[in-house]
Amino acid sequence: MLFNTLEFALFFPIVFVLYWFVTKRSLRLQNVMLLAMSYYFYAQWDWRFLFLLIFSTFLDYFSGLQIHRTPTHAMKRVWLIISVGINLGFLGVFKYYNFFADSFANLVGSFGFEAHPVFLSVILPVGISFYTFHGLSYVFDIYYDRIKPTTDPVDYALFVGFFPLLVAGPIERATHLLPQIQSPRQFEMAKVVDGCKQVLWGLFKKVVIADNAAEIVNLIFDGHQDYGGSTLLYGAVLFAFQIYGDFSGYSDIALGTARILGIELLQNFNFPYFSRDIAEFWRRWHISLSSWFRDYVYIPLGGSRGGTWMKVRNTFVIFLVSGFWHGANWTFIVWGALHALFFLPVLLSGKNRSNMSIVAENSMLPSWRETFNMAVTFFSVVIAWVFFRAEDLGHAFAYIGGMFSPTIFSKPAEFSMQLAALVGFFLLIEWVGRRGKYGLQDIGLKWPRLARWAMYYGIMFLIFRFTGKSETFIYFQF
Amino acid sequence: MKQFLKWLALFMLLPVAIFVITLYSADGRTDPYYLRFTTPPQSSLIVGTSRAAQGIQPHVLDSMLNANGRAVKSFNYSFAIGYSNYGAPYYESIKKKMDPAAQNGVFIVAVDPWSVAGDLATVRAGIPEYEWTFLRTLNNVNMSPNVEYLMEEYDKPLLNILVPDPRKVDDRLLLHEDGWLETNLDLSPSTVTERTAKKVKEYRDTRLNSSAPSPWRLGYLEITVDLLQKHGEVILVRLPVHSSMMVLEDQLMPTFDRTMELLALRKNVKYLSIPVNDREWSFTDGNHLVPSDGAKVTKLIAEELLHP
Repeated sequence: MLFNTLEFALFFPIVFVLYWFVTKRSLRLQNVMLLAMSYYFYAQWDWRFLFLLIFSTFLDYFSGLQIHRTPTHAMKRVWLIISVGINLGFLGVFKYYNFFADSFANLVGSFGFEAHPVFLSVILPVGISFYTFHGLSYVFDIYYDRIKPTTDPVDYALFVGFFPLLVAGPIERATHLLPQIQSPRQFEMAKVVDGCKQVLWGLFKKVVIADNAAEIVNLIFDGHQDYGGSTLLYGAVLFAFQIYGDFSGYSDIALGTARILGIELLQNFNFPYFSRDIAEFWRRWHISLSSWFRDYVYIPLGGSRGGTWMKVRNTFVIFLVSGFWHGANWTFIVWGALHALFFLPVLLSGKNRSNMSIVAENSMLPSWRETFNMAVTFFSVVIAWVFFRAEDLGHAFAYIGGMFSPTIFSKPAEFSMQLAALVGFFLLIEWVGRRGKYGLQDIGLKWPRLARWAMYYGIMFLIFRFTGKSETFIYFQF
Repeated sequence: MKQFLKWLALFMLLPVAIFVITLYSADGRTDPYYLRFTTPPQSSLIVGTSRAAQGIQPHVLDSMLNANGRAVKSFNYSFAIGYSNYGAPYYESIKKKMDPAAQNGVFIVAVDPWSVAGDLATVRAGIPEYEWTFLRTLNNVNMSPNVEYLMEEYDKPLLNILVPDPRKVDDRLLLHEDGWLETNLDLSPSTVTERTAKKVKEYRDTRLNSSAPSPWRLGYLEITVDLLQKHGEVILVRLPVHSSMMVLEDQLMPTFDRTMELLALRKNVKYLSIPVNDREWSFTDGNHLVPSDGAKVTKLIAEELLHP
């Protein structure tokens, strides 16, 4: 079930009524209902993988209890290894097995031997990378004594399987979400209205910006050999908007939906394309994943406390792992490596924390310097996105080669004035609303109700008038 | 809570009103398929691909059969190649469109080699074709307005129904309530020749080399006939095409007519293969009959049903 479908439009009001009217008096009942509906939501995609989700949930729940109860450190470590091993084992089989088998065959082939690996014909269970990371953070936090395990399996299962975040995040932490699941939620009109607005803005990003951009991006990336440099650049820039609209749009709908139910999820995006350097970009893009890797990979490896070599190594590790998390393809690994290369100069010069506040915080427009820095950062990100979007490395290099050719100064083909206007409107709202948690949050709050409603009606009109051809959310494949 | 619900109801009044008006504004110009999913279940069907959708006209068939004492109200439930090739999605959709209580209906099953051909690699591997088309995903095919189709399958923005994009308005296609898709194309000889050459090239370059007769699709054709036979008389029909298109079909499946004759014999139904004759039949693109010749072909089929 996707957020932008009729099914979800029918599903969510039922959840809303059951949640706030039928089960409100009993927290236990409310959580059981929410869990049942979350599993129904997941089963709509493929009910067979529900068993995998339930198994993974109870593995981590049980491991968490064992880690906490076991007196000796060695046994705690054994339980941690069991939990991490099985979780990563599932991820390895479903997501990475064919990649490793293929890479092994190629490697052996390069030495003149022939290998015939067995390839698995398995589909990737939607959301596996996300719920696996939920579970891992939980057992790590118990192991490092940051939290105590919950003794209620329903609460834990809801922490992992809560439907707004189940298939594409944000990747939650037990320290943040579990207490909310364990406490009664109050209906607060302001929060519910805010949630509705965030859902509206997320839908706009997804169905208007991402889906319309996708049509042209697919055309240009699939037929890249037929286009000049300017069109390829245009395609790459549009992909930047597609993936941002798609993923942050999904996150907005997830956060808004959860907020309507009185639950706050972690902010996942914070206007990343207004970043002035790559370090700032990574504090604003897919925040829940970046912070996960920071807390559970980068810091345990020593973070940036060691010497230069340690910093370089840890930076590469975290970005390569992050790339690999996205998928079993060398393109994602190169994408990660590129970001590491962009990030290192900022880190090594000690300027990685020089842009901590939002750009032009106290003014309407950015300074020339800020504009220049934002443009450079955006362009670097766009180059890396080409690898992310390409089918394979050959495709990516050919695309970039074509982009940096003399035809980069020609008039781009496939240019859509309508899409340009929609992206312009989108950027305007994001810029004006950049001090909020999402673009639309603070806009019009002081306007008369009629004017505010007119703005919301306008956005609804754009959604129903300019819906692009429906595309699956990109991050569902991860 | 009450306050929220009150404001929400007030806020949603306008969007809901526009939404409802939009749904009720959808008609035969909305797209080439929508109206077929808005009628009640049917007792007589015409099934096949776009050749049948444009070629076989239910009103012509009904008037001839009714005039001869056979009370029939037929409905064209044909779509297009890629959607309504014989296979699981189309079979299931036909089942949903059938009135389960129907008896003595008339069922025209339009066949041609493309409608029973599958992807070459899939056929070689011996695995079933898998099509993720709206015929597979659409649960309700008998609802007016069909909210599910418009929300999930309609491939343009919903408000396009109410406020069409003037640059994309296409008045060359009109889907009638009986399911017949009327075309209103430029039929000047030079345009038709150009369109025919283009269509034949497209089939030769992209379909012929990547397709093969599919036992799986032939099997589904057979069970489609079985299903329809339970509700009345079935006739298999091969509609005429331009001779240059026929050459490709003979390459794809040289024994097609024989295969259909054997199927008809096995199932005890009629098989009508209308011969290719470029002087007798006119096409919009070598593949689809012009409306006037569609009416002629429909009369031929009606005569075959009336005078075995």
